[in-house]
Amino acid sequence: MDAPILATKLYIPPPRPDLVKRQRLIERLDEGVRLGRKLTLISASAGSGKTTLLSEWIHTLGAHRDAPLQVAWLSLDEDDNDPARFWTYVVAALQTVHPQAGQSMLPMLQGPHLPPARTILTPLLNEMAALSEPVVLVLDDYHLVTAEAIHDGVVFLLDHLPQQLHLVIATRADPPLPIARLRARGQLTELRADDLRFTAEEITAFLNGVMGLGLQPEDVAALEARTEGWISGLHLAALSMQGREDTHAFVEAFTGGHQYILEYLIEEVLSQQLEPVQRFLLQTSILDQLCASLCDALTGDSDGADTLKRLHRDNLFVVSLDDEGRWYRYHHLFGDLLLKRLGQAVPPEQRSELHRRASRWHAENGLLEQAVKHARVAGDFERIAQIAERAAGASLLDARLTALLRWVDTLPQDVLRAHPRLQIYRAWALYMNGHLEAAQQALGDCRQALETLPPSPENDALCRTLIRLLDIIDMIAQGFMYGVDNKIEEAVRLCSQARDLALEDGHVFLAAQATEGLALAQYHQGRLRASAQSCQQVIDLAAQGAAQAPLAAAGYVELAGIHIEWNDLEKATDLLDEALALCREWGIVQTLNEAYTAQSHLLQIRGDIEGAWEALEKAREFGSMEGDYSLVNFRLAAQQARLNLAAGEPEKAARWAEGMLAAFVSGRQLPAAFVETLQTTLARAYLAQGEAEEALTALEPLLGPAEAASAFLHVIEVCALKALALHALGDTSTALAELERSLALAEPEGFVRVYLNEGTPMAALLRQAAAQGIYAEYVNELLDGFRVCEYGRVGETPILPHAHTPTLPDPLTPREREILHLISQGLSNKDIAENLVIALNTVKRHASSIYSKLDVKSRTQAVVRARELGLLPLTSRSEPSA
Amino acid sequence: MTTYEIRVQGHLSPQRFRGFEDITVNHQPDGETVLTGHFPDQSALLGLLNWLHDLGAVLVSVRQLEGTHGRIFDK
Repeated sequence: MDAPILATKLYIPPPRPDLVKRQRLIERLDEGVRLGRKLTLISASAGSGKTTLLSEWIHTLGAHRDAPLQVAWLSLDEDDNDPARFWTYVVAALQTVHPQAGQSMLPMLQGPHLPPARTILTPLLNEMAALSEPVVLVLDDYHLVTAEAIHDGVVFLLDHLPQQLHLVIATRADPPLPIARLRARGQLTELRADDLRFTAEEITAFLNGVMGLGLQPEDVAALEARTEGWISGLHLAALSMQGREDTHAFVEAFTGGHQYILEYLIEEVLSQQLEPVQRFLLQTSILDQLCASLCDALTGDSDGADTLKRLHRDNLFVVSLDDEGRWYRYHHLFGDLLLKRLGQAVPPEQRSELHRRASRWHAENGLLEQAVKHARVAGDFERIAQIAERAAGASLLDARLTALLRWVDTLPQDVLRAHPRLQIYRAWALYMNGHLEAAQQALGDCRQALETLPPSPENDALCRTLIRLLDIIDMIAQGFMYGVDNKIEEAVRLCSQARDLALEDGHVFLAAQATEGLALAQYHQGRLRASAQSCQQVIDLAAQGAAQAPLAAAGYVELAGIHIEWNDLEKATDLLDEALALCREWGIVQTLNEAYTAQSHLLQIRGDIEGAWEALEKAREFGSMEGDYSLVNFRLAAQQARLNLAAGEPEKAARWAEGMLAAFVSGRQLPAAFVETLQTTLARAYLAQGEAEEALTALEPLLGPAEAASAFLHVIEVCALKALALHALGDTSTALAELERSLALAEPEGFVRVYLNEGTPMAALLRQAAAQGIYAEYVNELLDGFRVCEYGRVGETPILPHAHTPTLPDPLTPREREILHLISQGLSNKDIAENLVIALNTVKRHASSIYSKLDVKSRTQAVVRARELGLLPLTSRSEPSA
Repeated sequence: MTTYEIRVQGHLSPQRFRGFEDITVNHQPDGETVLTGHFPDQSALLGLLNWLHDLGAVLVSVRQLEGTHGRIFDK
């Protein structure tokens, strides 16, 4: 449902043949670019010739410069007050000169939540800085921008403008940008009303030269005085005087301010037109842009093409918007006055009819935004409902429902009630945008609306279809909430049922969403294998429709989380890369956040602490606006707590957990999964500070509810932590009993990281378990895991201080360090490949990269050099510690 | 350059005027904010008035301090 880019907004108006050359102004414009100033501001009232001057300048640029400037043009309109739309058009304008410009920022602009301006613009500015040729970006009619968020973005743009980019803003009123500062620093070229005014010579050249009026000098002087050199006034005056005998009397007759002169002159110009042309002008004045078939749809005639061409030829304030002579618009001033006259000359119901026709034409031609806009002016909400309903039918399949919400939210209640299907779509859009409570409310309203439909065969059929759709959406929404709230079995039941019903009815998107909920619930059940299968099903379902990539991305992130738990870090890396690529391509901000959070965890495990913090920062940039209690933001904060713990700052992690829990105590309902994460974070912080008693106290209330709800993921984790606390208190036998309880649940599903993440104390405890033959095989596998991931253990300082690696100009990656470590233990490439479960060729590739980074030729040299650099311990074999 | 004094209802934070750097912002005891600035022409003045309008500020008066026109708009 993305609005198509209107090429007409990017079209640089061609210079008119009947122009007076404005050399002095052209030179000022040239100077601004030549001196490398940041901004050219052309600020003057309507009809001062701003656009015309820019058009003339741009078309003379090639003629008198060695390297012609490239110019990107954007004509703004009222609809551009949506920041996402504004920046999308800025990118589209820049792409007319550099086809790849800003490609990477487009996805961010299409998601439901717009990131802050600096996030959106930084990649673009970097691209621009790398250009070899300078580019001028023209923003015409900037006075139509009123959105504070856009001004903020433009301020950011100006503050960080690279040398290669020059901004030109044409506006009727000074924009709220730091104009004074730029002026003081000599970074501004300014053309204002005084500069644009026609001089006496220019007036003579225009009236007598271009328009061929043959006026006397005193009449020219009088016109200059009356119009104050105001170009549109002169233009209209000249049009009125063409073919008139008594030009002197005409000049004498008008006086007053611009508005008065304008109305007077337009009256004059209009009255010279034939009646059909007058009618055409009035009727089409409601349009932002005109083309022949659209005009015909409004007037009911078939001569739109001829009329437009003639108006353009006669210079009747029609501006051509493309090279093909397809789209035109009225000069703003003229259009505004025509519209005003339409208001006076035509009764409201006829005006509404014109808007209805315009709406119909735009809808038929796929220009839905315009169709909705005209329907709204016509007060035809039924039409908006129909347009939205049709658009929603298609977009229920993809996640881009923001525009739909915007349209529907302007509808009066009674229209909305009459369109139950639309209400359901609206509820779904709310749900997909993360407004869970509003979605629940909307679903309830839908049910009520359906119940009050008068009974009839059609209505009954409609009701049956829609109630089923409602049920599916309801089940999914409920299922997601139950999944994180210790009603897991209920969640599994609801999501499975919703998935089956949705598949039966062919709602693939809904089916994928339900399966996603199922995967989440199964994960909390500790059923990693089943959850992985469900994730894969989400990905497969999503692959059935091109527009469902957002769901696939979410599936990849969840699946990556499971592979992290299995300690299959290579696979997890691949899955996250897949998810990130999809998110960037599709602008799925929320999932981007989750993917970066998962990546942070992964990098932390691999020992790349710096990378982990960076990933967390990126996640934060794409943070959800739903507050601290959204799943996305919660996961992000939890990962930060993990990093705090690893950095030896347990008090920071504890402060976060306590703060969140305090809010919980004060009445806020926190889902059980959140409470579990908070209490275990607290327990880890206590353990790190040697307060095992407190850790036990934090863990104690979790076990009962988790077991009752068969939330075995939590049971496994809580029992493992309890075991550590008991062990720290010296109660080894109870500790081993708790550990055994944890292992019994974890072993069948292959949990690994839940133990490895706890570091040295867990390794010690597991060795004791191995000695007593508790799950000996599984425990030995876990102990092997400790050996392999020696370098990047979570929760403690790596054996090899991280600070050593940067002494290499090109530091080793975590994987390379891992392989180097195995080389130093005397393993052959083949052994390493088996050990790490990767291809032999991959090992060889890593090895040759290690050699080149260490500047050595053989394995032996590599080990010696690595010891010198402190990349390996000085002893020949490193045993698992503790 | 012409100097104008613009009065609006309520106390507007001076931080909000970061775009208009040569405007002075004074809070009056009567609850109004007085803005004083030099404007090259009407488009510049209109820029500030438009922005105040978008902000939802209620205009009390606009007065030319230098020049011959005196009070051009008063409530």
